[in-house]
Amino acid sequence: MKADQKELLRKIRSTSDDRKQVIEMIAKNTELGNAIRSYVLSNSGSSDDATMVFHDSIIDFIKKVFTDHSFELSSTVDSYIFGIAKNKWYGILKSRKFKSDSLDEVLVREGEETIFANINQKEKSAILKNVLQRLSGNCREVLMYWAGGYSMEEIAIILNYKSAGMARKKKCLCMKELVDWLEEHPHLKNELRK
Amino acid sequence: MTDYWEHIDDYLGNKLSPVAKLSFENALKSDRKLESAVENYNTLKLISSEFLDEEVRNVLSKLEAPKKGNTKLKYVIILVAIAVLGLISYLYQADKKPEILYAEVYEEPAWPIRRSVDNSLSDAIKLGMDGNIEMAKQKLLDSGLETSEQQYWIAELFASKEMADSTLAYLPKSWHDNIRRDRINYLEILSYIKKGQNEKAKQLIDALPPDTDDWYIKKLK
Repeated sequence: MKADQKELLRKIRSTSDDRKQVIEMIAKNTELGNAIRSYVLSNSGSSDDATMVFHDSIIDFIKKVFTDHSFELSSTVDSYIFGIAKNKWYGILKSRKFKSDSLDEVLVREGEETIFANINQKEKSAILKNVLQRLSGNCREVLMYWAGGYSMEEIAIILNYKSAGMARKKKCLCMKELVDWLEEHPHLKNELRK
Repeated sequence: MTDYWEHIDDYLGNKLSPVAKLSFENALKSDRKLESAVENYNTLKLISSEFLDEEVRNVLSKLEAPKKGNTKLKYVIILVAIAVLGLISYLYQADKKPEILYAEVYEEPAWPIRRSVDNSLSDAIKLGMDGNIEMAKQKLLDSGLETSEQQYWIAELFASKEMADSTLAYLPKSWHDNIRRDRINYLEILSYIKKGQNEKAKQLIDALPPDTDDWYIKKLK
């Protein structure tokens, strides 16, 4: 793996600012964006579908690198993300075809499916925003790295805590706040599992 | 004092010693919130992992926002362009009013009729009216007519074709009578109107001799 690719993976696993740089760099990569757009458009997709697939592929790539600490690129970032996009679009097409075949109302069903998909994402975002409003400073980051499998030593370094013990105490505090929120919203437990 | 919250991961990962595990389970019985954390451990982790999804989406949506803004800006530019084109079109139409005025105001002269002896004038006029202006002009210049008479009819031919510059170039500076004078003044004014020089035309109208035929006065004013 090339040095610049290693640096890119390091940044994704580092601070939010470093990660933001990588996300912006990938999102502004017109060559990659156009390749995904061409692929989606030439396979029965719309311009909106192409944007959605491009963005979701970036998210999947970032999540993969963030949570799989031993992950290394065997190809370029572009070809890896393009591979994700192809699989993602194939899955969407398959799902749409299955629904249209089984219901025999292609246009109506497809439209409804898109709307439902959007509503779910919007609802999910709204719920997450609600959670984040409830959490105190830095809890989002601490819990995010904790869920991503980072050790307390790593979290302390990335988030500038004096020690792993301090990071652990912060994690416990944040977890209590999250439990409080969950107890107040029992009906949402399942919603976030979608 | 032990903070059992710090041991949730180890408890669920089965990494606690038997003694610590027993102590933790005792704490679970008395701490409802700790018990909820253990019960909902996977949900807590799932919610927390979604924070990354949300972070990436926020960055992407901020990158998309200017593009949407640009689309709105494009619509505004198109609307402004349409408005400007409409204004230009209106002003152009307004500017073209003198041309319409020329067609409305211009009246043909009493063209010379064919005679039995010398038809050079009527033949030249016929050529001009048929569209052969240059041939007609040459025929008039070759005719035995007085210079001012030649020039007058050449000017009339150009005026009938709305050729203002040529009309002005050939309009004679002298005349035999007031009838011809009025006609020459009339053609001169029309030529300036045709050229869009309305101010000049207005000055000439104001400077018309007091005994100008009423027909011209009414027609021009």
